[in-house]
Amino acid sequence: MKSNLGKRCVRTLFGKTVEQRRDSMGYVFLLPWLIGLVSFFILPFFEAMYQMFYSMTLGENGVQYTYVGGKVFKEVLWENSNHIRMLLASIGNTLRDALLIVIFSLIVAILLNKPFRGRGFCRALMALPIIVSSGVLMQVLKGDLLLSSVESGAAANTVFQGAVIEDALLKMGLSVTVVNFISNSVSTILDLIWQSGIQILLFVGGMQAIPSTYYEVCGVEGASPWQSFWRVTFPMLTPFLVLNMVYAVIDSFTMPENKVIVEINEYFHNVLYSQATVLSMAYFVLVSIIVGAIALIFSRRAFYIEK
Amino acid sequence: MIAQNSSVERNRRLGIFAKKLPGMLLTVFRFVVLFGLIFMIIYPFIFMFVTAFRSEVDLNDPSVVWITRHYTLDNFKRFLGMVNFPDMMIFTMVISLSCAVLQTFVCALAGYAFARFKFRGRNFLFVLLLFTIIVPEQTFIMQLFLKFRFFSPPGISLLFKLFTGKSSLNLLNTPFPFIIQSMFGMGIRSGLFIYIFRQFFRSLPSELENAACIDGSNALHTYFTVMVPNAIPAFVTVSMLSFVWNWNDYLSQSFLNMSRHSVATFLYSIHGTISVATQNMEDPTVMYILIQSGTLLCIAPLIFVFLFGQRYFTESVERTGIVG
Repeated sequence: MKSNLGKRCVRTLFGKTVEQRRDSMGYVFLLPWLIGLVSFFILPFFEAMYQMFYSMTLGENGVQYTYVGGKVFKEVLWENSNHIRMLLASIGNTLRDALLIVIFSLIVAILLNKPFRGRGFCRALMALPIIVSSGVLMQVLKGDLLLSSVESGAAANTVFQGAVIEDALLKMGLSVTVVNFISNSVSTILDLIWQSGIQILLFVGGMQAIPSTYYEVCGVEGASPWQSFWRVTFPMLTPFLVLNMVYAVIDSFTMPENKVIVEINEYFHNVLYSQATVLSMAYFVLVSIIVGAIALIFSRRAFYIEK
Repeated sequence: MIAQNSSVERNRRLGIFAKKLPGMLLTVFRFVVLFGLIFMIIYPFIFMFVTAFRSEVDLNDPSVVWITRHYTLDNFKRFLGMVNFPDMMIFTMVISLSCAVLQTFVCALAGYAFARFKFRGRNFLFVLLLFTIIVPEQTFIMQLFLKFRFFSPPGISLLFKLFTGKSSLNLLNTPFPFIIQSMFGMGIRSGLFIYIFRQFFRSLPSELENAACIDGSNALHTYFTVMVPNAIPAFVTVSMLSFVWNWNDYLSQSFLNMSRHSVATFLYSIHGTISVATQNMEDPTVMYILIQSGTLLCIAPLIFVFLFGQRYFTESVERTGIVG
């Protein structure tokens, strides 16, 4: 009401309010980004879609396109039966990793949330994976662990070799698929630690943002820590849960040691551009379906304070 | 009487113990998990530091595990002799530094626009922004490759023709593709940076701008004199992340610099490069030491960034919140 009155009072020459004139300044701030968005995102994206139906040859002055229709699709997705299997397997792995990352980082964040001696040090070290880690570096670092176990006998990573555990679980009568799932998870835990840096920080940040009055109410009502976690902390963290899940999926999607990415790079190095684009488009469509599904399913359930 | 008293006392003590037990267990659990975690994170780095300075004499000495007897810089010297390290370092440094500066500047502008202006089409553009975060580069990296292989932006291509006789430039294997993309807010993970800035600017009180507006300052002037000084933490966080991610960016560098190594692409093939340089004649452990010292040199700037910025960084990620 008040602001409406204000707007009517300050109507200016061109029939626009001061606020409207100020708001159109937003385009000035956005200008560089808009140029970039069109020329380095939207145009390339549509060109890539168009180019999937053409075969390309690289010449001196540019690229020659010849129309081939759906031939490339057929070649990449139908005739090479490996690819479909690879895509599905990679998506399964991605989902498993994302789930593990989220659970793992939630547990670590809970441990880091309450003040204790050395908390600052621990939190600082959690930032190390974000800053230093990349897919490339991780391979070198993993090489270290391998070598050291060869060298010094007392191995850091034999703990994570699932052979013994696998045997024990099989003897307990669990089915092979379950045991495989567990042992695979165990063997990727080193990677997961390195990938969950940003998720841990986000969860800790989310926990700090929960108003302390909620916990006071819990204390007054006589809730146990267990109850107050599930009734207060967890619901308040659900938005972060969605975000972390999506972030983890996207992150593992673009990692260079991802098998599909390796395949795409191989196509590219063999000058088979259309094939590479088809494969990456297929992958992108699959992953965006999954990201969309995660966002939809979880954000319905997620709890936001201000509606 | 006395017996009763002591049993009461015992019960009381048991009660206290039962109350304290969960807390003690939590402390032990926390210690075990965090210790393990920190060990996993820090172990490779300690190992790298220790081995990089180790001389070959100590290699076959079983009593040397962590603390080296003979320190040496020979590993670094040998490594530098094998690889054109300065060229690679300068190349990567130019890319990372200039991208960090440009990206921070442009993304801050865009983030401010999304945070404080209600222009037409804002929601639509914001959805597009989220798309730039989700859509991976692989889908259109070929198009980017071609764009920079035959670089001719409309309007400027005439100038190229005047000076070089060709209608397009080949910008591959130079820092320019990265600089141009960052300049227009499309560098690595720019969408995320814009999002961070948007969240941060939204958390600042709007009275600041209103006061400046009443004092007669226009939007641009207000932005640079009032808003930017108040958003220093976000600027530091984003520029650090941008520097680091550009440094580690393997994907687009492997496409756009096929015949020139940056640090990330070099690290990917470090094993092969060194075994070629030693003609595969070298003892594998010596090779590993060389790899360690090479990697240490390659990531030294990152470690510096971490040491100087970690405190600032963790706090501002938590406080400003990448999320809202």
